[in-house]
Amino acid sequence: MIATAPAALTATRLGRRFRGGWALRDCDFTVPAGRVTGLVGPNGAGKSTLLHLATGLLQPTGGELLVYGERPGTDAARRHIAFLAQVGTLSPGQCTRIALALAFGKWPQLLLLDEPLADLDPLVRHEIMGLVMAEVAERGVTVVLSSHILSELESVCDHVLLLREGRVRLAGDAQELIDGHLRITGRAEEATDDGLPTGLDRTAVVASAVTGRQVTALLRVAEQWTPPARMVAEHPTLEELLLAHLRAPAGRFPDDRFPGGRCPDGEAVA
Amino acid sequence: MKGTYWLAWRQQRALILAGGIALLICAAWVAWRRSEMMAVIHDHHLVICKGWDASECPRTDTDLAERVLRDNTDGIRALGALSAALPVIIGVFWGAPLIGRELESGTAKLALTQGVGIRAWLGSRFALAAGSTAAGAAVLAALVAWWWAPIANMLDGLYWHDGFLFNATGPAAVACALFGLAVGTAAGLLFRRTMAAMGCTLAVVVGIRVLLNSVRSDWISPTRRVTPGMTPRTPVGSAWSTGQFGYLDRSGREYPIDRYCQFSGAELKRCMADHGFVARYHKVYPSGDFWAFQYIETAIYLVAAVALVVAVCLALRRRLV
Repeated sequence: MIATAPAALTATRLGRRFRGGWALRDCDFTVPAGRVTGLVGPNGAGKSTLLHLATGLLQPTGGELLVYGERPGTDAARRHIAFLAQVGTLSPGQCTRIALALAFGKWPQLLLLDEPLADLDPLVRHEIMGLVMAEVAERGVTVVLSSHILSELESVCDHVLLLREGRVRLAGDAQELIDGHLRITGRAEEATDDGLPTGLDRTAVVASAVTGRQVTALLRVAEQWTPPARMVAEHPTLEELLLAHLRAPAGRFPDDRFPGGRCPDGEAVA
Repeated sequence: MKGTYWLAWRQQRALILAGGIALLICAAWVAWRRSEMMAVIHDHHLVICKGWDASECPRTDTDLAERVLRDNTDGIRALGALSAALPVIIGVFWGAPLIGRELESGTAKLALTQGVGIRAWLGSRFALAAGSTAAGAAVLAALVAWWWAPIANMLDGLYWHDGFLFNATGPAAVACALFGLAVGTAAGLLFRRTMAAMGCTLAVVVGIRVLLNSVRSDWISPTRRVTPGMTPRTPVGSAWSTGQFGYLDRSGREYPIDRYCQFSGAELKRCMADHGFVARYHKVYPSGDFWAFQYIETAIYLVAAVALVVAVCLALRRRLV
């Protein structure tokens, strides 16, 4: 995250509750201006809720979300934003193009795309993503793009906001996140349950898996970190990194205060 | 037209134009039928007779009057039925989709993330719908009244208290149409689904209509017509009979006929004398009460409509998503 860049979105203790529970709770994050931010999370994580809060179509239950310093739903905030929702009646292809044209027609500073590609075939998806990115590059628009097609995010996003169960699980510059993680692969240790070497700091492990005699783990690491002996360390791809954080059990890290097993109905708003 | 008004017009113009054309056809038909009726009345110098009793109108050519009524009553009744059904039609086909369809299809999100606020969006589309509804209902109510007025309350024709007329004309008909629109709009917001909102609107508007029709006579007390001694009661004329007849004693106390002296002639005279009855009474609503009933109902519908619209304004922001 570039601290000096002005924020397009600033959330402070942001929360939104629906009848079924909290869709978003105690979220603090900023979305930097001029970047393409991928909003990632499983169904029900609160992605749609977050985007609707930014448009002013939903009001927060607690906390605050500001759009370029303005409250969502005010004339000033609306001027900055274009929103492309999952519009049920739009048929794929042409209609998505029309909706995008409409969104760009506003000359927005901030473009919010709520799973714009969900129903499209790969060719159209590729073409439309190309259109969006060309416009974004030309105009310097800030984009927040929610999706669960992780492979596609990798090529377009330079910033990531990962939501899980209504909480921010991961936020930051894509490259910095990649630099701060390592994937280690090696022969599984027989003495330990998880197959990882005994000396390894378990709090740094995001996710690990044993296949046959081989163990693979994704770790959060500092810059000058030396991998254990006889293990191969590589920086993961963004997709691998995001997948690992999506798979990691809730409460794995101290900043995950949200108890696992609950499923807020954030996605129900879509 | 600009902004939200353009949008409202663009989305509602098909309904407005179709309704306008239907009204024009109705107006042309009424004008033609009424001119024929007036020609018969003028050519034969028909003396209009008010009330049920032909014996009260010796100068009226009863056969001709019956013919005029026969030729026109069905038409007025059909037009009245249309006008009385208008609140339901408007509520179901205009009110229910007004917000309901926008929320169902998600186009409300599209509209409300452009330049305009929720107030302007709702205000313009409801104002256009309400204005068109009021105008259309007023024209239809006026057409009913215009056709019916020359032969109003005559013999066995149509009377002011008939459902086909009372519900179809006057300010209450216009107020009820606005109420129907408000019910539909609120139902659309409540269900966020057009079909469910339509069903709910149909049930509510018809239900309220039936309810008001059944309790209407409780709102104002009827006039007591008293005839002294055994004098037969005054003909009911154009009044709306409550069906309450009976006798009065010297102190003015009422004795309903269903429990006292169900006789006639000499027997009645003896019975009245035995009980000390000195007069007979009949409770009716004179035709002038039409306006009192109309104003009460207008007020009820308008207050309910305003309450619903206020509720919609308050709830809409929280039910957009």
